[in-house]
Amino acid sequence: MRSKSRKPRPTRRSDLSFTPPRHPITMSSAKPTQFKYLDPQALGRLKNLSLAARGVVEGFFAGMHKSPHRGFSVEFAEHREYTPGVDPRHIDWRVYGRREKLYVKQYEEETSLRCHILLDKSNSMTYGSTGGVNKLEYASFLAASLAYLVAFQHDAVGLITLDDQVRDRVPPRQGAGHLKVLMEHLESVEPGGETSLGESFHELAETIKRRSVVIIISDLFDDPEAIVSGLKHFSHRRHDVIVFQTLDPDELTFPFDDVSRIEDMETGRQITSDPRLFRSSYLEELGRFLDTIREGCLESQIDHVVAETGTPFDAFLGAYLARRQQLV
Amino acid sequence: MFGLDTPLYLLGLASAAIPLVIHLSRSRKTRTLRFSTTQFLSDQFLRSYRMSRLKELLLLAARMALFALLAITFARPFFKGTPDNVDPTDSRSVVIVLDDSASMQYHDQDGSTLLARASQQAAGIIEGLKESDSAAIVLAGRRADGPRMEYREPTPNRADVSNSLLNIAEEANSAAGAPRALGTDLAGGIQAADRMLLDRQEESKEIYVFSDMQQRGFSEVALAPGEQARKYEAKVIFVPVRPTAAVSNLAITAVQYGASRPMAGIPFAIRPHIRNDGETARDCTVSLFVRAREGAEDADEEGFRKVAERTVTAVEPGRWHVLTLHHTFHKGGWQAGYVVVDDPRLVADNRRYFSFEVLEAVNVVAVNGAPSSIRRNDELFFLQAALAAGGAETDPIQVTEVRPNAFQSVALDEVRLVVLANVETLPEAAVGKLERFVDRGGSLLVFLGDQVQPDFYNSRLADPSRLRGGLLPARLTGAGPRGDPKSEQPVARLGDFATDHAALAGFDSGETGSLGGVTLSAYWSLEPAAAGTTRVLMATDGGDPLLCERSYGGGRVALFASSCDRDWNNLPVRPAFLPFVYRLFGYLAQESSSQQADKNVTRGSFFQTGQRVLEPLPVGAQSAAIRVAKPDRTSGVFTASEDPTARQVEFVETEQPGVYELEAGDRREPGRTFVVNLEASESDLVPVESGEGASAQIQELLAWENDDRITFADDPATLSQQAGSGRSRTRLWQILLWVVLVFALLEPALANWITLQHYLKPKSAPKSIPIPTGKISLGGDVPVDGAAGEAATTVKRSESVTGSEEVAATPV
Repeated sequence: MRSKSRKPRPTRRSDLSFTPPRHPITMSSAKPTQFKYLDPQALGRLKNLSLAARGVVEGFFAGMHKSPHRGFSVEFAEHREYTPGVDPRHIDWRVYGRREKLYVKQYEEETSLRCHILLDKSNSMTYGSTGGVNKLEYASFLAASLAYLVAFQHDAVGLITLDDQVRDRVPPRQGAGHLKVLMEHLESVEPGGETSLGESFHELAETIKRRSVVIIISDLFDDPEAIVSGLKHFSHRRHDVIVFQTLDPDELTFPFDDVSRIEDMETGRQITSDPRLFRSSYLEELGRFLDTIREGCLESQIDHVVAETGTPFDAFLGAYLARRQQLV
Repeated sequence: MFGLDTPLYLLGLASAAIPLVIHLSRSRKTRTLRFSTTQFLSDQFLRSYRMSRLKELLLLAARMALFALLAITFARPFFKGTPDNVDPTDSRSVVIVLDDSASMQYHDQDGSTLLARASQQAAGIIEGLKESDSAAIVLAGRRADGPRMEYREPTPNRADVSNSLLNIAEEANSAAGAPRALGTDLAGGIQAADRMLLDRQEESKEIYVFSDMQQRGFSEVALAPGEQARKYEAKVIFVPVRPTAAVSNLAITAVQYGASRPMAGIPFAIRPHIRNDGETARDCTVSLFVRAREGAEDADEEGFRKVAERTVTAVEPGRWHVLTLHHTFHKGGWQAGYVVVDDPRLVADNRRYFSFEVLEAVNVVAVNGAPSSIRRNDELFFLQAALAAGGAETDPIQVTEVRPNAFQSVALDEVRLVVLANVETLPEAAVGKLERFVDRGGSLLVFLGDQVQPDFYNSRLADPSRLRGGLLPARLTGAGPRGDPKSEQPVARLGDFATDHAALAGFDSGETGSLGGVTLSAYWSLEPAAAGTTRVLMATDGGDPLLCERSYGGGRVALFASSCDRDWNNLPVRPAFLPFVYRLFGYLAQESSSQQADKNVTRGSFFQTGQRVLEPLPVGAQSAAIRVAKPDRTSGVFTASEDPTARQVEFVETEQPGVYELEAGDRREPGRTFVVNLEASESDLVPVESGEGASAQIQELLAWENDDRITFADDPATLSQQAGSGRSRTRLWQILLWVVLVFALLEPALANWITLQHYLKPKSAPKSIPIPTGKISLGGDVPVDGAAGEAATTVKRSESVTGSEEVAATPV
């Protein structure tokens, strides 16, 4: 029965599905039926992540999540024969009257979603186009919005920051108080360190025992094979994994013409070359890198999304959540 | 051998730095970017970058080479190969500049002249020319109207040119031909050749200068207004034609005269300067020739006869030897002659012509210090008797007698000589008058006697504190004269005298009388002034000075220690007295040689071959009226000067050395002559240095500034072969031009290729960059509705803006 109830892999997105709110809350009342795309720069000026996240998330309807753990909850699922030891309160006497056999009612359990948000705070995440927010800020807004969203559904949400190793861990909890703690953690995140995601993913896959939704927000600038391996480890542990690969527009287009020396923000490695030569080689390598990540995610049915920091993140998130809802 | 036709264009090599400067200036525009990651800049990229740098440097080198090759091409490099490698399309225009100066008449060891050898070598070059070539000849002897151009322009008739050269060679070797006695004008010859070649269209323009390369044969050429020597581009090849053996040459390079205007009947001193330009001492015979009478049997072909001859022994090489020859002209007017030394090697410089005007008569003022009413007792009796003994209608020496107290009032403007005869004293003003007279060129002859006050003579006339140290050449010593005039026993006899002096020459041989029996009963003891200014011409047998002479300013002063009558000596009654007086008076009355230079310049009597003779034109005179009889008996004429404002006429036909006589048409001075001689530098056969320094020295002599057209043919024997190889040169600039063209065509292609390889954005975008951003995760093909759908649509549009299309479409 359990296997029947499980839809093909894509349907696992239902673990984090949303329905449009009956009374959408928007940041502007002028056009209540439309999303107001907020400039990330304007959001960047909002230091209160909680407030910012609320403004973004409260426009969505937060639906309930059906727990895959069957139990004795309010929603009937099926009958099964009574066996000694089972609470006799669940015996369905009306079935006994018709069939003279003791059956107990079995209900689908409505339980809390456990969501782990993995935030990459390595130095490479501090890059930002001139005048724009950097990737870490963008990722923090994204994490805060998602945390608020999950908390809004009365689910448990936790936060893990990592760079070359796992740093801070805020276990998933429910409740507004926990959300406040989580927001404070997000605001206090200090960038630093190199990126070593592969090992961290393996470590976290082992330590997160209970099946959860794992949201990874990172630029994934590491060995792509190691990253894919770590992501597969999550998938193997039956976690539902969503990857928000946060990239700056500069990283996607490499628009520099007057740069003769590139210095790596993490390693300090310097490369001197002709600026016009950087572009073609860089874009080719980046394309290969993204292909590897994407194909690895596709194989493991991992949702991989590139979050370009030049896109207003509320628009990005709204579009993504709407897409998720359509897939439920 | 490589060479350059226009090496100045090599300065354009500096333009090769232009691409480098641009490259460096662009390279400096750099900055450092701190970027999130460099993991996408792979080692392969870095290798590609290094390769691109290499290609860039290659492109830079190609661009620099393009500029450099262009500059080198403009310099027109060529490679001289062997004569077999002849380019038939390469035409040549050759001008032979032949030094036909006197020094080229030098007879070498084999008997041929340098000019003949040079002509034959030049003919060899002409014979090596092809049909498309042209040639000309310029004779670079110094001529009044410039170097002689045998052809107005290079002619293709090479046989004619070659024959002309061979004729010159034959004439130069012929003993019958008159020696060319011209100076050297190589600079003018080269300039004439340059002008001739200036507008020629031939590929190769060559000037071959055949010369003995005398150091003094070069002179600066006056450029025409606006003419710049730098515009000439013809190659100038100097071909030295030198004697094959040690040089041996004697020459008379100058003639010095005892006076510029000798007196008729007075022996005239001529001092030829003989120079030995050889390497060993030489003996020689020097002869003096003067104009002979018409029809004289002993006259030479030019109408001169020999009047004196001296043999000189051991003339040291590199030195001058000066000897004195005398001749007495018995007739006034213009006289001419020459001095010649026997030297067969170089005949042209053996003769030195002279010409001057012999004076018929001069005025003499004699101050009589002891006059007497008795004629024979008068102090001047014997002098006047001697001077009037010529028997001519007009005495050549006109004597005006004055008393000492009247001397101050006598006008001395037309007087050549003042004689003081036993004058006691003179007023101070008279002494000053005498000093000024002699200083201006007059002469003073002083006879002493019994009236003389030695204090006056020593304190006034011989006072060292006066002008030029006093007039007299000696001071009187002793309280009185030596000897007793009344004694019958002489106190002294005439001793030695200067036989080489113009006034005393001939007395030693008895030719003009003997002074042997002259005795002195009294004379004043003389103390000559400082040596060098005074010369003792006569002395007593005891060695006391008897006749002293000194120069004083422009004139001369002679002092005789005894009397001019027979009171103190017996000279007046001796046969030699008459010639002695005549000569002494004539000698002193002549214009002194110190005035010679000025006189010659003003009268224009001495010129060099090829020199322009200028003559002031009298008002109303016609230039054609002045005709000149040249040495070869042909006639010439003065023509109008190029400068019409100068009011002068000029005579340019001065190629022949000799005596030129103005014909009767010139009424101002009928019979006036002037002489033309070879310039003395032609006798100096010392050449310019050979080897590497020759070109630089020639440039310096020609006053050319850094002209690299000059080459020096070190081995004239192989000249013909070398000249032939000039045609065989490979014109590298044509090849270089093709290389430059190829470079110019390849450079854009190479630059474009490198740009395409390394700099431009890829034409097709890397599919992995934008595609995963929207299409995979946001599912654009999934139908959406409501606000979320609009958001998704908007996101898609936004992503497409920053996605692949721009990358693909935008070139770098």
